[in-house]
Amino acid sequence: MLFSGIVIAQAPIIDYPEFETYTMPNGLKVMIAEHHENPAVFFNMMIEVGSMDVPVGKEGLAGIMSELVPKGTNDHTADEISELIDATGGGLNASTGLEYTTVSGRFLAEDLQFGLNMMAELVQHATFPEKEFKLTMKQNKEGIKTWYSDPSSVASAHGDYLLLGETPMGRMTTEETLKSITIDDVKNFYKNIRPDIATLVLIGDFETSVAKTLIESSLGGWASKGKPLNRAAFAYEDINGLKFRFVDNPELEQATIYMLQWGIPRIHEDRYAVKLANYIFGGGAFSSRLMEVVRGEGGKTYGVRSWASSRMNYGAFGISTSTRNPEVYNTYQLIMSELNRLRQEGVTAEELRKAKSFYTGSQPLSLESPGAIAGSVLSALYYGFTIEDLETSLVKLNAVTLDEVNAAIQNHYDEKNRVLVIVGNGEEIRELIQPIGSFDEAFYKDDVH
Amino acid sequence: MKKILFISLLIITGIFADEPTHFVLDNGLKVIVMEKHSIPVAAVQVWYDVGSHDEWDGIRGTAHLFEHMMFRGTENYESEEHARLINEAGGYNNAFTSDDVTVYHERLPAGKLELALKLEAERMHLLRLNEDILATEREVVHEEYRQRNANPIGKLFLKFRGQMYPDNHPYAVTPIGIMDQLDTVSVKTCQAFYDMFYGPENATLVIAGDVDLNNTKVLVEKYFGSVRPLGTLPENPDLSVPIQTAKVVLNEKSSFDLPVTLMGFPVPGSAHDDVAALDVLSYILSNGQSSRLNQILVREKQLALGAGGFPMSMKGPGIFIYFSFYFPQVSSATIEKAIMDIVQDVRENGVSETELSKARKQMLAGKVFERYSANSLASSLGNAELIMGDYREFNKEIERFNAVTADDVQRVANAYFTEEKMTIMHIQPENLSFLKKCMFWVAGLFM
Repeated sequence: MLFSGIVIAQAPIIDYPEFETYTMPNGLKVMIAEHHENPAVFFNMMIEVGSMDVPVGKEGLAGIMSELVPKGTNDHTADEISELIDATGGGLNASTGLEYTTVSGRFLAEDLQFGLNMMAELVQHATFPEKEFKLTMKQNKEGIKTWYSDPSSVASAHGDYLLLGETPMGRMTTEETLKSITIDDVKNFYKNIRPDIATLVLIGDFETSVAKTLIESSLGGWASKGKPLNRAAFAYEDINGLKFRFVDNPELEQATIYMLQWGIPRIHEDRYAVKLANYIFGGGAFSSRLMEVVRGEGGKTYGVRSWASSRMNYGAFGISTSTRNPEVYNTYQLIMSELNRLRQEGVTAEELRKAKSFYTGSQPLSLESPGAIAGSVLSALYYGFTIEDLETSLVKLNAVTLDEVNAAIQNHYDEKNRVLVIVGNGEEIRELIQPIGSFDEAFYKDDVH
Repeated sequence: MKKILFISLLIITGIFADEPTHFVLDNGLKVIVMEKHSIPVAAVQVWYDVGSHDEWDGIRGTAHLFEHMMFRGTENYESEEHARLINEAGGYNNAFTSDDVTVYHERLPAGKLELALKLEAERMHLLRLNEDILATEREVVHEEYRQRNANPIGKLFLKFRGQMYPDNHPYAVTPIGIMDQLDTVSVKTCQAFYDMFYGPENATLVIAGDVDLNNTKVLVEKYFGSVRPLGTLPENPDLSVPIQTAKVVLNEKSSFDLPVTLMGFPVPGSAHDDVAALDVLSYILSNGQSSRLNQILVREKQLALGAGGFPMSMKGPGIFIYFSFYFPQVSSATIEKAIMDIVQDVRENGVSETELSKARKQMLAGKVFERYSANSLASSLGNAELIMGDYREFNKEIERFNAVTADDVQRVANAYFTEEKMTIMHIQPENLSFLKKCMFWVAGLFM
C-alpha cells in the first residue's frame, strides 16, 4: 500500500513510496519508486534555474526558453515532437518557475521509454530554430497585452512590484522586455539546463531495474559544460508604513483588494506555526475567519483568502478579495479589523485544534496521484528537506503549541508596514478609498513600474 | 498496439477489481459505489436531478442561489457547520449548479465517510431556511455575477449562448440567473423549490475511493434510509424545443485586446448515439499541439494565438463550439474562413486512420490517468448517470469511442456543421487607435 497513517502520539507518519536514490556520474540525482496502481508512469525533472536568474530587463526570457525547448531538437522538428507526444496520449511539458525549471511527463506505462528519451532529447539537444523563435516572440508580444483583462492579475503584478521592487521577482514581463530578448539570449540561458543541478523523480508502473537502464541510456551521456549559474543574493528592502497604489479600470463593477507584506522563507523554525495561523485567518476556506466575517456575515464578496507563500530566501503574506464598488472601503475595514484582532488576540486553542486536524486528515488527499507525489518530493528536495522530513512533517506540525502560534503571529504579521493595491473603477471608488491613506495611481493597461 | 488493446480490454470488460456497482434504497435513492483502495481517500457526491432548466420565469437563478443555502444550516447543524466539519476532518467540500444538475461534493479521508454521509443526509431533508441569511447569500451571488462579468469575453460568451437557445428553451438562461428576478426570491420560494426537488428519489449518491461496499450500504441505510421521498416529482421540462434554426452573425466590441471569434453549431444531447463521433472529432480538432486547429491556425497560417473546438455536453441539445483568439491584423472574415475550411475538409474528406488511432489512445490514456483520483471517478460516474442516462456508460465510453469509424466522423460533420445553423460571434478590441487600425489594415493586405 502506498500510504498508511501510523499514529504515534496522535501524529501520523506518512509513508511515501520507497525510493531508490542515486547520483549518476554526470551529477544528475535520480529517485525512482514503483507504483503499480494503474498502467502509467510519471516523471518530473527539476533543474535549479528559474526566472529569478534572468538579467534585469530580460523578463520573460525563462518562459520563452521553456516554450521553445519542445520546438525543435537535433533529431526532430517541432511538429514531429508534438505529433509523437500526442500519439502516445501522454504529455510532456517544460515550464520555468521563479526558482527552478521543471520538465514533467505522464505516459501510459508502455510509453515509458519514449517519454524518457523525449525528455532527454529536450534537455540536451534543443536547437531553437529561428522560425520558431520568431513565431513564439510574435505570439508572446500579442499575448502579453491580455493579462490586464483579469483584475486579480493586475493586482498581483502591482503588489509584487511594490514589495519586491526592481528585482527579477518584482518586475513583470512587458512588450519592452520581450523586445530585448534575442535568440542568443535564449540559447545562452538554455546552457543552464545541466545535469549537475538537476534531479529526476520517476514514479509508476515499471520495474526499477528496467527504469534504471532506460534512464542510463537516455540521460547517461548528458554532460555539464562550464560553470553552473551563480545565483545573485537577495536583499530585503523594508517597507515603512503603507505602500498604497490604486489601479483604475473604468469598466469594473467590482473592486479588487490585494495586500502583501513580508513573510518568512521556506526554511524557518516558525513555518508550521505560520501555516496554522494562516489557515485560521484566511487560508482555510469556509473555516477561516475572513470567510466567516467578510462573506458569511457581511455578504460582501464571493471569496476572500489569505496565504503564506515562501521561497528559499524570502516569504510573503497576502490577502485578496473583490467586492462591489460601494463596499470597497467597508470591506477593507473588515479585513483590517480581522488582521488587528489576529495580532491583538491571537488564535484560540479550539481554532488551533481544528487547523491541525485539517492538515493531519488532508495529507493523503495530496498524494493520490504519482505526479503529485513527484512534485511534492522535488519541491521539498529543492528547499533542502528529505523524504524523512516529508514523512514526519505532521508530527512537527502537531507539536506546535498555542503559544508558539501566537508568538509567530506577533513576530511575523504586521498590520502597519505593508503593500496595498486596489484595482477598480476610479470614478466610483477613488473618493471612497481616500480615508485609507495616500496612494499613487496607475491605469490598468499600463506597464507596472 | 497489442498492449494498448490489452489495457482497453482490461477496462472495458471489467477485469479491474474496482468496478462500479449500485443499489437503491426503498425511498428511491440510487447509490453508486466504486471501490479503489490505493490510498485512504473517499469522494462523496450527491447529484440532484435539478438545474437551472427546471426554473421558470420569475425565479431565474434560484437553483444556484438555493445551492448556496444548502450550506447555511439544518435542524442539527449551524450555518456553514457542514463545511467546517468536513474541513476539520481533513476534507474539502463545495457544490456547483449547471443547467441540468446540482451537485454537492466532498473529498475527504476515507475514514470520515460516515461524517460526509451523515451531513449530506441531514441537508437532504432537514434544511432550515432563514430570511437574513438568504439576503446575505443573495449579495454573495451578486458578487459572483460581478466577478464573472469582470472578464470581458466571459460576459460576451453568455450573450453568445443566449443567442443559440431561444427564449422559450429551458436552457435560455444560464444557472447564474437574472439578478432582478433573484432579488425577489424569498424564503418561501426557496422552501417550495426544496420541497419540489430535494428528495431521495430525485438524487443519486456517488461514492468512490477506499470504501467497503458492505459497510457503505450499512452507513447509507443508516443515514438516508429514513429520508422521506417527495412522492411526486415535477414533470421534466421539454428539452426538445428546436434550437438555432437559422444562421446568426453577431459583431461585438470588448476591452480584451485580442480579437476573438466564437462559432457554435447545435448538436444532440449527451445520450445520443452521435456524441461519440463528435467527441472523437473534438480530439482530432483540438487535443494537443498536433491537432488540426492548432496546426493550421496557429502554426501553418500563423493567424491565431490559440484555437479549439469542443462539444458543450448537456442532457438536452448541446453546442459544438469552435473558438479562436488571433492577431489584431487578421480579419474576422479570414479567421472564419480558415475555421470553416477545416470543417469543410472533414465534411468532404473525413479524417485519417492515424488521427483516429491517436484520438483513441488519447482517450484511453485520459481514462487511465483519471483512475488515480476518487473525485474524478465520482464525477465521471455521476455525469454518466445523470447526463448520459446510465452510470454504466462510464465503462462503455472507451468501447463506444473505439467503435467510431472515419465514416462516422465524416457523417456527423456533415450532419451538424452546416452554416445555416451556425451562430458566429466576432469580438473586436474596442480601443484600437486609428493609427494602429491603419497599420493593421495595411499589414492585413499581405496576410
